[in-house]
Amino acid sequence: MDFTLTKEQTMFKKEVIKFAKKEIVPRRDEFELKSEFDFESFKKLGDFGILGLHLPEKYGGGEADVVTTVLASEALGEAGVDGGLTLALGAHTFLCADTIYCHGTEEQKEKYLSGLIKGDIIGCMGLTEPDAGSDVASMKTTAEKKGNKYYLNGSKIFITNGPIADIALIYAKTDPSKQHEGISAFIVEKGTKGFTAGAPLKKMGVKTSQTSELFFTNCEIPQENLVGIEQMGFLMAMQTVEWDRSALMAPFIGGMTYALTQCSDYASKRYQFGKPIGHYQATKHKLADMKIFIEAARCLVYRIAWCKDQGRPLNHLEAAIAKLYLGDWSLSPTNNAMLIHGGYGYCHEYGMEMMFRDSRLAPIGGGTSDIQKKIISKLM
Amino acid sequence: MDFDFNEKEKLLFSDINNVLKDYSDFQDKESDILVIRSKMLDLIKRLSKTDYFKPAIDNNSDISLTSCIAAMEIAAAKAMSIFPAIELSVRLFGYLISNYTDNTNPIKNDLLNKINSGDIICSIAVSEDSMNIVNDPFKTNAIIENDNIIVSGLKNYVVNAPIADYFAVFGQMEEKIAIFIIKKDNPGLTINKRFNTIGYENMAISKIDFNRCQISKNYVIGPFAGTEILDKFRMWENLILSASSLAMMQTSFEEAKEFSNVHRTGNKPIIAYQEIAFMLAEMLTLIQTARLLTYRAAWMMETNNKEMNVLNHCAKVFNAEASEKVASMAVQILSGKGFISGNKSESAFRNSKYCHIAGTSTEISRIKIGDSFLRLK
Repeated sequence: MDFTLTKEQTMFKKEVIKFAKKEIVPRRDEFELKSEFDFESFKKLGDFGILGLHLPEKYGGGEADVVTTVLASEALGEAGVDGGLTLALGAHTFLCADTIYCHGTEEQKEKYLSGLIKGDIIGCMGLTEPDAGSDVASMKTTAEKKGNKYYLNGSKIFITNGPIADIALIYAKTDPSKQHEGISAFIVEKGTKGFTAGAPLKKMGVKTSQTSELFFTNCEIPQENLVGIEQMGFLMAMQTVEWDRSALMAPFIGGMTYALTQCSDYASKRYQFGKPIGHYQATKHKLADMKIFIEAARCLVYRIAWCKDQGRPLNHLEAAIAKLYLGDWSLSPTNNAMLIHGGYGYCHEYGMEMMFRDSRLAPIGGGTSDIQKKIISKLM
Repeated sequence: MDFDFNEKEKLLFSDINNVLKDYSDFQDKESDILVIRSKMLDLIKRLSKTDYFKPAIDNNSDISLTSCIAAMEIAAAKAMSIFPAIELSVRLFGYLISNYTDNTNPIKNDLLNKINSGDIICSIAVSEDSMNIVNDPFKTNAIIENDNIIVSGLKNYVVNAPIADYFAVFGQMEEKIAIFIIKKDNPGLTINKRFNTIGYENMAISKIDFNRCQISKNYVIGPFAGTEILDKFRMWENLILSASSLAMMQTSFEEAKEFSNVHRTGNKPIIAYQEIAFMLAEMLTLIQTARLLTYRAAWMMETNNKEMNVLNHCAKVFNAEASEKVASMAVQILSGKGFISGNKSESAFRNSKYCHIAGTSTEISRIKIGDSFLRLK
C-alpha cells in the first residue's frame, strides 16, 4: 500500500493553488455577497485547463488521471475558492461534459466538448424534479419521439448552473411506463423553443453558484441530441457518481484545509486573557478535530479516485461511505472553524461563516445522507 | 499511489489466519494469572511461526507497516481479550531491545531469541502517578553505584506486571531518559495486587515498586537526550491500539449485523427497520474511514513523512472514539442481549475505553495535533 503522490501531481497541485490565490480568490467575496456568478473566474478556470483536466487533448482537455483531477479540485478549495464556484465547475465538467464525452456521438463531442473545456460555454445537468429527488426514477419529465424529433415536457429543480447554462444535459422518460429503465438523456441548448430557465433560487450557501428550475413545454429537439441510446439514461447518470464522490467532494476537503490554516493563524495571533487563544486546550482540540476530519475524508476520496484510475467498476458501497462521512461529519469542523474566530467568525469578512453555510449542502446534494445509509445498508 | 496489498502481504494474512484457526479467546474473566500467562505464551508461539512480529523488531523485515496493521487487526479479532498485552510483551519490548541496544550487548540476542520463541512474557513500565509524561518528567530514577545501576521508583498501570519475566522500565538517569531491564526475581522489585478493570479484564495489570533494584550496565538502554525514544515507542503503541480498535469495531459490527438479520420483531428481521439499518450503515462508515486513516498513518511512519506524528495521533483519536461509538451502537442493536455480559460487543464497549486512555491519551493527542499548526511563542 502506498500513498505517495508523484512529483508531477504535487507540483501541479501547488500550481493550481498559486493560480487560484492570484486569479480567483481576490474576487470571491464580491460575488459571494451579491450572490452572483463569477463568469470571469470561470473562464479563467477554463483557460488554466481545469474545466477539462481529465478529458482528451483532442478536444482541448488535459488527459490527466483521476487522482490528479481530484487533486486539482482539492487545490481550489485549499486556495480559498468558494464552494459555489467549485460546485459550478463540478456540475459543468463532471456531470455534463464528462457524460457527453463518455456517451455522446462524435458529432456531439466535436460540437460541445471544446467549448465546455475552454469555458466558452457553460453546461448543466438536469435530473432532479420537484417530486423526484431521492426517488429519481419517479421523474415525470417526458421525451416523446415524433418522427426525427423529441418533444420534452416537464420541469427540473435545483439545477446547478441552470440559469446560466448554454447547454443542459437533461434526463427524461422516453418510456413513462418504466422506472429507471425508461430514462434517456438529451442535450438541450439554451434558446431552444419551449425551454426556459427559472430565476436563480436564493440559497443558504454556495451562493455564487446559480441554481434554478428548468421548464420544458413541448420543447422540440432533434433526435441527434439524444446522448447514447434510449433507456440508458439512468446508468449514465449513475456513472457520474464516481466523480460526485471524488472530484466534487475534493474541493470541500481542500476548503477545510484552508479553514484550518486560517484558524491556526487566527488562534496564534488573537490574544485573550494575556495569551493567544491557541494556548487554550479548547482551541487546540477544535483544530485537532478539523485535522482529523480532513485526513479521514482525504483517504476515502483518494481511494475512490485511485480505483477509477485502475479501471475498476465503481464500488457503490465505498462511494456511499465516502459521501456519508463527508456529508454528516463535516458539520462539526466547519462549526469549529466559526467558533474559533468568535464574533469575527459570524461575520462575512473571515470566510468561516461562508464555509459553514456552504457545508450544509454536503449531507443533501448529490444524494442525501439518508440515501447513502440506505445504499450502505443494502450493500453491506 | 496504491491501495492494494500485494501477494506476499496477503500470504502473511493467510498464515496468521491458519495459525489461529483453532485458537479460542477467553470467554469470561480469568482469575488465575497462570492460565492467562499460559494462554499468552501459546498465542505468541503460534504467531511466531509466521512473520507477524517482524515489523518493529527485525530491521531487515520487508513487511510494510500498512500490512502490519492489517495483520494486527486479524490477530486482535481472534484474541481480543489479551491482544494489547501480547503486543506489549513481544513487539514493543522487542522493538526497544532490537532498536536501542548495542549489537555488542550480550543481552540483546538472548532476550530477542526468548521473546521471539514465546518463552517469556515481558512488560513495559511507563506510567507513573501523574499519568502524563508530557508535563511531568519521570520520577523513576537510577543512580550509579560502584559500576551498578540502582533503580528506584514506582510505576502504575503496568500491563503484564503480575506475569512478566522481564520489565522494561522507563526512567531518568543523568537527567536523560533511559530504560532499565529488570528481571522479575530482582530483590528490590515488588509487584502489587492485580487490578480489576472495566475492560480487557484478562490482561494482568498492576502497580510496581522498585526499591533500589540493582542491575548491571548491560541492562540499561540509553540514556538518551530528548524524548525521541519515548515518542517512537508511543507511536508504535498508538498504532497497536488503533489496530485493536479496528478489530473491536469490525467484530461488534458483524455481531450486530448477524443479530439484526436473525432477530425478528413485527414479523420481520430488525434489519428491515430503517433505524437499525441506518445504524449499521453509520457503523460501517466509521470502520472503513478508520481503517484507511490508520493505513495512511502507518505508511507515513514507515516513510518518515514530516506529518507522521500528526497522522499517528489523528488515527489514534479517531479509532478510539469510533470504537466506543461503534461498540455502543452494536450493544444498542443487540438490545437486552447486548446488556448481558458475555457478548463481543459488550466487551468491545468496555475495552474501547482503554484505547482512549492508553498510549497517547485522546486529550493529549488532540493537544499535540493542535500544537502542530500553531505558531505560538
